[in-house]
Amino acid sequence: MTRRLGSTVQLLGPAAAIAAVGFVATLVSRANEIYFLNALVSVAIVVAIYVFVGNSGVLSFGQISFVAVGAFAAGVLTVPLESKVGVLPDLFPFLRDHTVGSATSLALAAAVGGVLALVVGLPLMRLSGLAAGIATFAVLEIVHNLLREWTKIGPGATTLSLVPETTGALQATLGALLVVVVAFAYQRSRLGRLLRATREDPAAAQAVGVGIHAQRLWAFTLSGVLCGFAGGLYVHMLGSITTEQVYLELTFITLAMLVVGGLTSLWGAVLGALAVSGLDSVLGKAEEGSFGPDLPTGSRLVVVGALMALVLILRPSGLTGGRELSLRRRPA
Amino acid sequence: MNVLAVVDAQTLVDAVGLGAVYALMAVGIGLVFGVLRLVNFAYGQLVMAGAYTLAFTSTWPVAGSIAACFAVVIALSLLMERAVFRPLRTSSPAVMLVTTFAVAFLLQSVALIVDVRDDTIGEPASSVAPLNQAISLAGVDVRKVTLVAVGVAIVALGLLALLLGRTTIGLQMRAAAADFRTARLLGVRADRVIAFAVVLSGILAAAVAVILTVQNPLVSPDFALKDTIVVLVGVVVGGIDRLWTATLGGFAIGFATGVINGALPTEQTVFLPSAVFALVILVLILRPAGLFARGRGALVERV
Amino acid sequence: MSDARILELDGVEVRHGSVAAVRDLDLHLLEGEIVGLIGPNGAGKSTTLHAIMGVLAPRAGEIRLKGRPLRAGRPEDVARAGIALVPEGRRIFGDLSVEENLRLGLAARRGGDGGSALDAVYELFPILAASRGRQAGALSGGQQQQLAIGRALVASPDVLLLDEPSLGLAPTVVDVVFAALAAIRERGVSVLLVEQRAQRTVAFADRTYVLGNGELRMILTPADADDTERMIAAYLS
Repeated sequence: MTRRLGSTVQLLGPAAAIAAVGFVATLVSRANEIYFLNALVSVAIVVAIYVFVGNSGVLSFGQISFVAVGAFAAGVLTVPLESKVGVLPDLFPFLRDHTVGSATSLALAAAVGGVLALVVGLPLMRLSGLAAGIATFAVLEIVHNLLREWTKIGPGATTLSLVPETTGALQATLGALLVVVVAFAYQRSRLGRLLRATREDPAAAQAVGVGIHAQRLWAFTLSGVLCGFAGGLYVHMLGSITTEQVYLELTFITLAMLVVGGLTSLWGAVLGALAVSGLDSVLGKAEEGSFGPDLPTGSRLVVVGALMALVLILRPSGLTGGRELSLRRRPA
Repeated sequence: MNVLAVVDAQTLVDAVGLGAVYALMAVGIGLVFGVLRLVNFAYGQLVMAGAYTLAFTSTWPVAGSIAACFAVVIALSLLMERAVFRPLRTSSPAVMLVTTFAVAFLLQSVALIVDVRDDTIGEPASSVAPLNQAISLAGVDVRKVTLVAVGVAIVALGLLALLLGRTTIGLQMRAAAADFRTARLLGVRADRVIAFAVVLSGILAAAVAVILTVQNPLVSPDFALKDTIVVLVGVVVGGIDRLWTATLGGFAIGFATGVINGALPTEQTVFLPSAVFALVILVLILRPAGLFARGRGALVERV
Repeated sequence: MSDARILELDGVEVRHGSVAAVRDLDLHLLEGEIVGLIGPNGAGKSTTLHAIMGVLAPRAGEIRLKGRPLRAGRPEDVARAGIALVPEGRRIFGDLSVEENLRLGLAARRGGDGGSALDAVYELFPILAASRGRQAGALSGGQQQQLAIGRALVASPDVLLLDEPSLGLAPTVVDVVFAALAAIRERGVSVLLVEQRAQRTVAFADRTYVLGNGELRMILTPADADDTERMIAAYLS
C-alpha cells in the first residue's frame, strides 16, 4: 500500500509541477506565455534525453539531433500545401505534395526520431564513457550538416517558416505530461529496471545475463521517439525554425537542465528543466532590459554555464541528489 | 584522378600550414588528456581568449601584443586547471567532458559580453596582420604566416620531444600519462605535473591564437570553435591515448581539410563534415585506440 | 635507538563504503625490522598498505611515521616522507626503459646523490644493470619484480612496504626476492611484507601479524613457523 502510494507520488509530483506551469501559462499575457510554453517543451526534451542518459548512465551529446529531425519532419509536413512549392521547391515530391495536420505530424516526428535513433544506436551502443560522448557528438554534427545542406528534405540553411503554431498551453502541457508518463512507465518496467541495473554495476548485470547492448538500444530508441515528439512540439510552438536552433546551444542548455536537476531521476529532469528554463527566461528578459538596466547580451549563457559547471563540480548528483520525489524525509 | 590534378603547389603549401596549426592544437589537447584523462572541450576558447587579447592590444607594439596574448592564455589555462580540472580529478571522463563543454559555453558568452560593448560583433586585430603578406618562393606565393606556422610547429614539437625525453619533469609526465596512481605512489607530485602539462598546453594555445589571428584578423566569440571540433576529431581518429598519434591525427585532418577545401569547389564539399564525422564513429567502433595506434586498446576510463 | 618505533598504526579503521575492511588495527615497525603481514584473501592486508600510503583515508585512528602523523589523500607526500611501496602486480611502466623506471623512483628521494642510488640498486640486482636500456615491459616477471623493488629503493626510504612480491614467481626467483629483502634490512631499512606464503614469511620475518576479517588475530614469531597447528589456527580463527 505504501509502496503504491510512494510510486504514485513519484509520478504525480512531476505531473503536478507540469500542470501548474501549464495553468499559469493560461493566466499570463500573450507576450509572456511563450516563456511558460518554452519551459513545458524543455521538460519534454529533457525528460526524453533523461530516458537514455539518466537510465543508462551513458553520456550523449546526440539526442538533440533527434529533436532536430522531429522538428523538421513535423515542420515540413505541416507547411500549407499552397505555400510549399514556393518556399520549399527542392523537396522530394512525397514531402512536397503532402501536408498533414499537427497531431499527425507529432506522431510522424516521433516515428522519424525513433527510427533514426535505432539506426544510429545499433553500432553506437557498444560504446561508453568518453568514446560514447564523442561518437554521439559526431551524430549531432552529421545530422546538423545534413539538415543544413540537403534541401530535398528541408529548407537547408534558410528559415523554415509558415509552420502552424498549434502548440498552445494545453498542447504543451499534455505533450510534456505524455513524455513524463512514458518515461515513468519505462523506468518502472522490467526493461527499465534492467537498464538501471547495468548503470549501477555493468559487470554484475552482464554476469546475470543482462545484455547491456540491447538494453541501451531500447532506451536510446525510446529516447529518440520522445525527442522526435518533443521536437514536433517545439516547432509548432515556434512557427519557424532554423537548424542552428536545434544544435549546439540547445544541446548545452538541455544538458545543463538535466545536470542541474540531477541526472539519475525523472524528478531531477523535470525540476531541472523548469528551474533552468525559468532562470533562462528571466535572464533573457533582463537582457532585453525588462527589469531596468539592460543586462549585456550573453549574460544568460554565462549564468547557465557557470551554474552547470558549479553543480557538476560541487554536487554532481544535482539539486535532487538524483532521487525521485518522496513523501518520507530522507535519511540524513 | 581529377581531384589530384587540381591540387597545385599553392594548395599544398596552405594545407601543410593548416596541418601544422592543427598539430599544435592536438598536442595541447593531448598533453592535458595524458595526465588528466580529460578531453578539454574548452581548448578552443583558450585560443579565442588569446585572439581577443591580440585584438584589444592592437595599438601596442607587435611584440608586446603577442606577449600579452601568451600571458592571458597561460593565466586562463592555470585558472581553468585550478577552478575546474582539479575538483573534477576523481570524476569520470564523461563528467569531465560535459563540464568542459559548459566551460566552453561560459567563456564564449563572456567573450560575447565583452565584444558587444561597442554594439558590433567582432573585433579587428590589426597589429599582427602584416604577417599575412605573401612572399614568392620558387614561383609559389607563400604567406609569411604559413612559414611561421610550420616553423613554430617544428620547433615546438622538437622542444617538446626533448623535454619529455630528456628531463625529469618530462619523464614524470610520461609516467603520469601511463599510470598516474603508481606515479604518485613513487613520489611524483600530481599538482606539479598537471600544472606543467596545463601550462605547456596553454603556451601552444597562445601560439595557435597568434597564427590563427593573422590568418583571420576579425575575432569573434566563436573564434577557433570549428577548428577545435575538427582537431578533436583528428585527435580521436589518430589516437588520443598517445601524444604522437594524437599529433599525427591533428596534422592529418588539417592537411586533408586544406587539400579538399582548396581542390574542390564549395558546392562539392558541403557534406564533407558528415563524411568526416562518420569516419570518427567508424574509428571509435572499429579501432577505439585510433587509426595510428598499435593494437586495439580502448578509449576507456582508467582507475 | 634500535627499539624506536619508526612506523606505527594506532587503532586504525578503514572502510570501503559501509564495509569495514580494517578494524581497530595496532601495528608497528622498529628500525631495521622485517615485519610480516599475512592472512586470507580479503583480510585487509592490501587495505592496510593503502591506508599507510594515504591512498585510503582511515575512518578512525592514526598512522605515524617517526612519531609524526601522516595525512591521507596525497600518496606523493607519504612517499616523500620516507615510505616506499612495491605495489601488488609490480606496476612497472612497460613503455619506459629500466633506467627510466628507476629514475622515477628518485622523485621521492630527499636530497643526496641520485646516481649513486641507482648504482646501489644495480649492485643489488645485477640483472637490471645488464638491461638498463631495455623496455621494462620486455622483462620477465621476476626481473620486473626486482625492478619494482629497486625503483622503491632508489628513494632511500626508511620504510619499505611490499604487497605480495612473490605472487606468480618461480620458486628460484622467490629466493632471489627474499634474499634481496635480507640485504635491504642490512642497510637499515624497515620492511613490512604482505605475503600469501605464510610459513615462509613467519620464518623469515622478525614478527608476523596475522589479519583475519579486518582484525588482528595474533602475532607470530619465527619459532611458530614449524608449529603447524598454530599456523592453521591463525588462518581459521
